[in-house]
Amino acid sequence: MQSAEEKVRKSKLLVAVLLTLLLIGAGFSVYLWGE
Amino acid sequence: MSRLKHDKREENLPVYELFFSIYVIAVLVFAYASLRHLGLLTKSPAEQLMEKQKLMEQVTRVLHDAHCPLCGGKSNIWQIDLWKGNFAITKCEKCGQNALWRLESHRWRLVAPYRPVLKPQIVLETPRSKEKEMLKEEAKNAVG
Repeated sequence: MQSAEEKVRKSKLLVAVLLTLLLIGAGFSVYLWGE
Repeated sequence: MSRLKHDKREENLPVYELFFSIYVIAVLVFAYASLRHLGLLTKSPAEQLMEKQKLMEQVTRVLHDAHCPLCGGKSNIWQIDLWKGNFAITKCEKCGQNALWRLESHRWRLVAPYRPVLKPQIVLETPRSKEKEMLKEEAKNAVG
């Protein structure tokens, strides 16, 4: 049983990881487009 | 013209890779700094407190009737330090000596018999204030 605080913490972590991957993916797309 | 363009493109290729590498590193550094700033890399305070509570229960259960390493007598837990190193000090009922225990790989191991820091034998008197001395002298003079 996870507490509400723990759930918020995990969701924040997930958002941060997804945002990082999105930014890297966008950068990679720009890199391929420029090539 | 096309050859010139091709050469120019070949020159630009490492620059793109370099920029992309710098960008990826910057994104990763930013993500790490954000996670650290939000305190998401370490465990939550509630979870840390729960862990400390479990450790406290464990140490009271394991070291409750631990034997003294010097005389073999029954010893009780005297002090517990769970701040950084997870130490516990037990005190023997028979000889009064202390033993230092440390948590290593989920087991409490005896480090050494532990002698507390000696207290200074000489106790310096606190300097009396001049006003008190003056009042005492006045009282003596009044009586005399």
